[in-house]
Amino acid sequence: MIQKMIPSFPPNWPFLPTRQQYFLDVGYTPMQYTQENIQTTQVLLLVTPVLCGDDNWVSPEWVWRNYLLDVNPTIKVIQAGWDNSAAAENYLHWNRLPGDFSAFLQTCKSVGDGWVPHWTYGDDLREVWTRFRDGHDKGGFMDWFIVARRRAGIISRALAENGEQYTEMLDYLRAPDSIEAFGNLVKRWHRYETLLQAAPCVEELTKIAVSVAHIERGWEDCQDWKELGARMKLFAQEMRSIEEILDTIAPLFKIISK
Amino acid sequence: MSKSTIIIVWGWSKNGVIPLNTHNLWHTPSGHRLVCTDVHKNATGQELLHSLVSDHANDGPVLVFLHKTEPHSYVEADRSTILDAIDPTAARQVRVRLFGGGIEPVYFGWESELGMLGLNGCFPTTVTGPSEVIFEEKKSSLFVEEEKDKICQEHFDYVWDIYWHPPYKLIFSLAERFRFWTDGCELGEGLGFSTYLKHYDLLRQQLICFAAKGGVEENLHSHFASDYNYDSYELLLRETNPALFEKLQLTREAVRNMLEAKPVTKKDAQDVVDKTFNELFGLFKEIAFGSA
Repeated sequence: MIQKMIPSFPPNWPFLPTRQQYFLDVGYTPMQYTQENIQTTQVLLLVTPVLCGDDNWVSPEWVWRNYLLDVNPTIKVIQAGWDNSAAAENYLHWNRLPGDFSAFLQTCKSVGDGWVPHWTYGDDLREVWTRFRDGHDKGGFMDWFIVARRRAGIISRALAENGEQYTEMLDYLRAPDSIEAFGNLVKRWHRYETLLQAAPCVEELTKIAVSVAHIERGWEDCQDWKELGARMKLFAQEMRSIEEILDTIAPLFKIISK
Repeated sequence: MSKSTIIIVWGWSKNGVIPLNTHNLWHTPSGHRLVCTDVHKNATGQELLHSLVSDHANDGPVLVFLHKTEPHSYVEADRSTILDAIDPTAARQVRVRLFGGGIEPVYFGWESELGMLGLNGCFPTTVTGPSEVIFEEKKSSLFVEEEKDKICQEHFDYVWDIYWHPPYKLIFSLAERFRFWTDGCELGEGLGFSTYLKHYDLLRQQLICFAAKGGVEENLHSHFASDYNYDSYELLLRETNPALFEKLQLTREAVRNMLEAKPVTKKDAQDVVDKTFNELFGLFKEIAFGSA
């Protein structure tokens, strides 16, 4: 029998050897999900809700559906768990593993064929995203981000050629609202990055994390106008990169009518 | 159409929102009510509180918040005292919750900016938001039109939904932790679940606290004993919701049975896991949505 791949998500879910053996026996080699292998596989094993952090349970099914609809619409997502009330198609109950896995797969719908995810009652990742970006009133990531990005841009341009405006720019940067904007965008990211790990766009989120880490470094160690100008230029670049990524992945989190 | 009422007994008199032993009434656009009152545990205060609860319970469900820290110091027994003091028919419409310490969803900014309570006995009157010009002080979105005694429906619904139901999130978390743990264990071969659970002690303690009746015998974290003590909730359900009362009893029994089970085969173990998870999960859905 030619073995096929079955990527699984999330990576922190303990995939027992006996369960791995079940899939091997029915012709599928378990492996961890990557954004690369998902493009060519026919089946994905999704075990949700995802434990994010110590005690946050996140349900990302619709985000995965949106993602896969774009990158591999012929894939079949198998949701696995213990829920006896899950009458949904594509649901694999651990206590009732099908003897004929191929026949079970035949009954499953592909993403492009209208698969409707089984809801697992964790925090809806689409709502988590909205809270992250926009907050409840004000104070979402984007609110702070917009302020910080503009300041980084203004300061990097002002210090691009000479240090005439160094003191003024330093005061601008040390103003409470600047400190708060930079500080809060970092805080906002750290508060939500754990939850966003339930999303399929792992590589994009990792890139954002790297950029935020650069911004988190701050500017207090800059010795003169040149260093400060260069740091702000770097920040501005990082923030452009973050914005591009956020724009790219935002559609995954949109609520799309069935 | 019945109107829901939230009554919050808190230190509103501390900074003059209302005088002690009085109350103030706010409405949402759809007519649900928020009653702020500051009454202590003396005859005058309790008479006023019982009267408020009773009056509003005749119009619809009432959710009463009792401040558990000083100077009010309401305790678990006070929940029953209120229910016992009013007409039994009205009491079925009333749920009483203890709160305090600033670390609960009813407080602004704890879990959400939809919380209703600010600092020091005041509404959350200001929030700081980013602005290119200046960080303005703005009114919390709690108020629609403050001068007309209107509060935002969204805030009311947020607090109501979390507290009207008992802490179903705890049950959900318990069920999912149990699932996650069992997904990582090769069970069976005669070892008891308690033995396996020793490798995951926090979950073990939570399950013991949830399953136990009339207190627990082991040295357990006291907050688990408090969070997962469903004795009083069970007593409340006996009168108010017999179906849920039965479901809770069955779930606690299933967890007790699981803790004592010593399955011989993997299949036996899986059956126990299946039963336990689905009882817990069904209870969560029953509490949160009214259907298992």
